[in-house]
Amino acid sequence: MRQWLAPIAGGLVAAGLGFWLVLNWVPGFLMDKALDRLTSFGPGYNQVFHGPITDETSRRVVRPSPDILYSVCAYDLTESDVELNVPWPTDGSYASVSFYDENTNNYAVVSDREVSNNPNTQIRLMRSLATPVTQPGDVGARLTFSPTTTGLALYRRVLMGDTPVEQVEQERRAFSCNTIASSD
Amino acid sequence: MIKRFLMTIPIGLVLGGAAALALAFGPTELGGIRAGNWYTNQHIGSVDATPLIRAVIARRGLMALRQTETIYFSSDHDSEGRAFDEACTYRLTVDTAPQARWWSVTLYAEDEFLAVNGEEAHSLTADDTTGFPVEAIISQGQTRSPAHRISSEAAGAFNLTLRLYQPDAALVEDATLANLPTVERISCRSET
Repeated sequence: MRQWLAPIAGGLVAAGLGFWLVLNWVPGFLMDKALDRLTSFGPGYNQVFHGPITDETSRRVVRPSPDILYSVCAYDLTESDVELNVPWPTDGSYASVSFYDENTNNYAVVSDREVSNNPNTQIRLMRSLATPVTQPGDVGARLTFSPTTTGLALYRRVLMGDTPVEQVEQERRAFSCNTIASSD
Repeated sequence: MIKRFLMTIPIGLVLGGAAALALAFGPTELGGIRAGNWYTNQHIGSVDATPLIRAVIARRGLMALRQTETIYFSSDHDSEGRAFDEACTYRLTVDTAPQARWWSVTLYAEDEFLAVNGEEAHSLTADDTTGFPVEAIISQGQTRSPAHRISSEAAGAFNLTLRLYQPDAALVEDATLANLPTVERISCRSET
């Protein structure tokens, strides 16, 4: 029996390692699947896909809100930076653009509350190994540093009861995402 | 000895990995903070979430916002602790305005997506209300109640998500202070 003690201890350590490895792998795996789905039916990386109004047929991401319009940019910063144009609602409803890295972390958010009377905000998304931050700019422009090369920028716009859907639709279609030359 | 290690280490790796998958994809709750029958986790969307929380959130709430922007409360039990069931009718009451810029309560079917029932009655939002308290009936069929209705048709053992967009700073510090809806079971098909 004694000759099994060390191998069993080794097995337990291996179990802990397997547990930790798989648990850390799951978010990246699910994000990869989400990116694959988004880029396979949509326009591809570094371009915007304006999702239809969420209904019961929406099956791409779990727990979608039927009261929010979503537009998404799956980004890839391998070759160049990405610039986003983010339009803000004219009816005072909530809107934001949130950034997710390859491990599903929401590393930055910019919402309409943070911009003063600017109808749009330009955000330059850059790859950085430094601490992920969003730096406010002085003319409605910002720099955001992605901790990973690929990820998602998700635009949310609340469908406010009184505002015609057509108007909301028209406004949110100004959300864009384009590659720009890298500064280095 | 080496032979024994060659047996136990792969077995350990596989068992550990399987346990992780079972936790991530099983009925694991998000843990964190409980307030009545609602629960939330302050690490949703956060870079300091533990690997387990991150894995569970990736499965149950991919693309969630961090707590300073949105607090997500979930509930799968009524006010008496019974699991939600599409065969039952419930009264959802929001007594006092939730402390946030905008809020919504959405019903999700067992599979974590909107229930497929063709009714387009999935939620109650701040825009549906003119004053408080506000009520909504959660039911399979239409009701005669003048209250708002959320359909649980084809939702199975459903769950509810309360979204609080841009919550008050006090809630970000302590989510248990939130004004949360109550969900009371009125009847079930087998009881009527």
